[in-house]
Amino acid sequence: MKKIILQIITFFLLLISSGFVMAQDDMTIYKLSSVPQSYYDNPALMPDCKFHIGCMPIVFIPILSSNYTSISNTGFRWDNLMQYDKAADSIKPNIDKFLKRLNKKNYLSLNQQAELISFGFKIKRTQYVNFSITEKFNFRFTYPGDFVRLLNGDSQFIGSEANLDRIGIDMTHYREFALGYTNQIDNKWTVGGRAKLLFGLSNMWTAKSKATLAVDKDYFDLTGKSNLIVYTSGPEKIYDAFSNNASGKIDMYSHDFSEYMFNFKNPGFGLDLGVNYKLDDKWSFAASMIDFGYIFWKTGTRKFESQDTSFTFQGFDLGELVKDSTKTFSDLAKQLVDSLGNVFKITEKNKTYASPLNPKIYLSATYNISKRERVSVVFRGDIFEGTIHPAFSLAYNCKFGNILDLAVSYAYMNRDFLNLGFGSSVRFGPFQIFLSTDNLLAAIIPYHTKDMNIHFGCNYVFYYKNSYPLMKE
Amino acid sequence: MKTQLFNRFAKLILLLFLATGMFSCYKDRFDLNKIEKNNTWSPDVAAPLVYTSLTMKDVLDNINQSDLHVNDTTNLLYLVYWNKVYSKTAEQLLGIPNQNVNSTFQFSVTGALPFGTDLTASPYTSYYSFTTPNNFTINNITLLSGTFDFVTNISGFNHNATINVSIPTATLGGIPFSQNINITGSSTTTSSINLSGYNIVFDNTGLNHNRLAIIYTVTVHGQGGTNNSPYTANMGESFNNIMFQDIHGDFKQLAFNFPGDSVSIGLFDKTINGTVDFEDPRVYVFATNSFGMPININLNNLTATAGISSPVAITGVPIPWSIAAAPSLGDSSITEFGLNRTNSTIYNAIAILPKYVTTDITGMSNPSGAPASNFATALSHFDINAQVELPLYGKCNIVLQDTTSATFGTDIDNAEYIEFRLNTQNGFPAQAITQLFFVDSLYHVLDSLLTPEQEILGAALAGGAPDYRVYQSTHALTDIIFVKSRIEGIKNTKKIIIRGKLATSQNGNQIVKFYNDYSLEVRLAARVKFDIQY
Repeated sequence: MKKIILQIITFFLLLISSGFVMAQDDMTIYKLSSVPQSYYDNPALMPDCKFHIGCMPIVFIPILSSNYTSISNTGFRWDNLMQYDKAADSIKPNIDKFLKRLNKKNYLSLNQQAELISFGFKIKRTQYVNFSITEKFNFRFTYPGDFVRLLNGDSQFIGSEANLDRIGIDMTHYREFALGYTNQIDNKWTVGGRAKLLFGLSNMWTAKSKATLAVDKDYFDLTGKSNLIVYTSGPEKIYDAFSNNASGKIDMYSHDFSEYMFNFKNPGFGLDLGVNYKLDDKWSFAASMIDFGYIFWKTGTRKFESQDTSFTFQGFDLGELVKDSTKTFSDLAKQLVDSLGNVFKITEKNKTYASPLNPKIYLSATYNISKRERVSVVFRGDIFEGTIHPAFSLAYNCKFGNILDLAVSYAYMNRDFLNLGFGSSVRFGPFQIFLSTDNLLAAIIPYHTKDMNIHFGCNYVFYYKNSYPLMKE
Repeated sequence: MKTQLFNRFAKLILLLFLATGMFSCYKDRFDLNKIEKNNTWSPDVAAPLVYTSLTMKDVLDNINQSDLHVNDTTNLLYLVYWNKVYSKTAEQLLGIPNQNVNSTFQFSVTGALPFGTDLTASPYTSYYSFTTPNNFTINNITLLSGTFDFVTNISGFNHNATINVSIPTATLGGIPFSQNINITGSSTTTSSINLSGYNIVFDNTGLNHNRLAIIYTVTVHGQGGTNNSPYTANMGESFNNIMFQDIHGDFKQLAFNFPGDSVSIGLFDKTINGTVDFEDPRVYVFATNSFGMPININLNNLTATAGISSPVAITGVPIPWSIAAAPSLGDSSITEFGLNRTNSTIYNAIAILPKYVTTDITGMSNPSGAPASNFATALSHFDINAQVELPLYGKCNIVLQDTTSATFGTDIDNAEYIEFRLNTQNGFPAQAITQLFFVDSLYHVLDSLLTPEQEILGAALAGGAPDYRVYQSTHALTDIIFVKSRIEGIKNTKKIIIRGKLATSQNGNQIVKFYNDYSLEVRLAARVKFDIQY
């Protein structure tokens, strides 16, 4: 057993030391099994109740039962940028410190999920069926550290190059119809899956973004290389607003919004799979993979592309001034701008495409201290840009009768160790309210955090079980 | 059981607040109203500024666009300075002045002169000798333009008359000149006859010189008055504005004198001192003569002159210099002589870095003095052109200086330091030591770019005789750093004096040749660290 634990710990340490971390969150709710929505991170983990229906409080209709919002920035904290001078009781920018904190690639992310409809029920205590409709919006701006470091000039790159790879924006707004099914095969194994039918509403996908700026060691020549492919899908009026000679003002009316919100012409699919293995009455292990799938964009699509090319600026050609005395430096500058425009010319095409979802994998180990207390370790890996971006959390859960289920967690995520999470669900009869965050400190010291997220909602839950499932039960 | 639950819950809450409370005292750090003013941003920027790859031809074109640079089959470069030293046109040499004839003669008619009666008097011939410059002889002339003008009256004349003017030796299309002038009574009559195109043959037989016979025949038209013959006719004639198309005769010994013209040697305009050895300098003098007469010219005192050295006389010039006549009308002859290191002192003359080559010109046509048969056209001219030809083959050690306007203004106020990086890839077999002086409007030196002077352009490595070809260019990297105090010092710069010491390989001691395919690559970059307050 110890060997397994050591191997798990070693695995986590290796992932952390690799430095590949990014904005991932909603870790605390993973083991808050009293909340049916915890099921979404692993369809093999059945919730504690036999039946639930998501609903707004008071209004007994199954809408808006779960809302999740997160914003995170892996690059730096506010107080990395602004340094506090205690004596002067003032803050001042500290650009050098701020730039040192940046990693090779940094992510500014915004995620929003609103569950429109949700319900689920168990069949014979060993099977569970779930259905939900969720509106999802994901935004991620990838900014290379070197891109920001250019604020301090390019001299730091003399003899090397600023790596601007992956700079770009990825944004998707889509609607998810999910049907889940879980089956407890025996006392040890439980498997589950969720099939998702997706409808894309708008998208921007930076499929390829390679860029560098090199500064020559001897001549200070500047060599820029670029290869960019960006796909977009959205209302035509947005393109019209930003086309040549347009004002940039988007004139969208109610029927445009209606057309946008009820666009079912960009279909997609997704799949969640999970497995849970109960080793004994104390230990259980679970694994899942979430959001494996694609959306096929067909309406309002564009492909913006700049060829794989490079341009070296060696300075203005003085020879042209010598040979043609009528020329001026202004003429040479104009020539340079024209040349840059031609070399890095971006072409625009109408082209349908398929963009991947952001898949995630979860691995967890849970130790039941008692019927009401347990600790767990959760690893989560977001998969994008061909890399796993890991995070992990250590959580303690405790149930207080049939009313209260609490969780506290500590997480390493967004390249930040300072994430103290808290989650709870409270039942008043069948009515349940839940609230979860991975970073409670963000509400108190937002300048000292890289991540803020909150997940809250309410459900009607029935036949609730107030203890963790030990083997002997 | 309830107590146990409560204790567990209370511990959990306490743990949370302890964990979070330790950070709550830092909330002032987020107060945006407390952002300090007067912060400094210090970006450090490096960028290339200018580059150029110049051939020798580019460089020399920039020195003087009007100079010619030619290369022979070996690609060797030549500097060629050309100037028209002397020029005379046909109008200047053989221009024919206006000729005032003013003939007066008496005529008589016999018989009554009732109204309607015409009586003709005997013809009168007037002989006139044309005056010419240096009294040269005209055998015949074809006029491009000119007029035969009359201010005529017959004193006391009480009838009308017609005066026929004829010149048998002046023909147009083979028809002799013949024109009538009508006279009314005693009034004065003015008339002008166009002579364009007439060919006039002059009588130079015996003692006659440029003599022309003009015949006047008067016919009186009776008006019923008495016949008061003899009458006196005052013709008042003159030849004016004579321009010839061609002219034949003996132009005698016309003088050609012109003091002190010069050829500018543009290469050394900016030279302030130094030595130069062009191994194979040449001077060519060309005479173009489209007059049908031989000319002897003396180029006296042909001298190379520099501002800082004594003039050097250039020997080897033929004295006199005989220039052949044009072989035929409308043609020209070209006569030339050349000076080089073997037949003159031109090598020593160029060595003083001359800015000019000067000379005094004297000479005369038909130098033998014997009767001659000369000709010219309206377009005939006599030119002397001089060409100084300097193959870029030799050695030099010279200092060049130029001044250019420059104002930095306040643009550099934010600069903490500036590092200029100069990279040169020199394909020329010449090294350069350059200095830039930053001066104010009164030419007070504020600072200099390099302290002390540095060799910026190392000479390329060249092979031996006879080609002296460069086989390896040289690279030089020079960093020049201006710290804040120096930047402040040059803020008031109004001009930059650029002084360059240019020397061929081995400090000017190795003979080299400059070919058309040599090039100099200069690349200037800068690294600037700013201190920007915000």
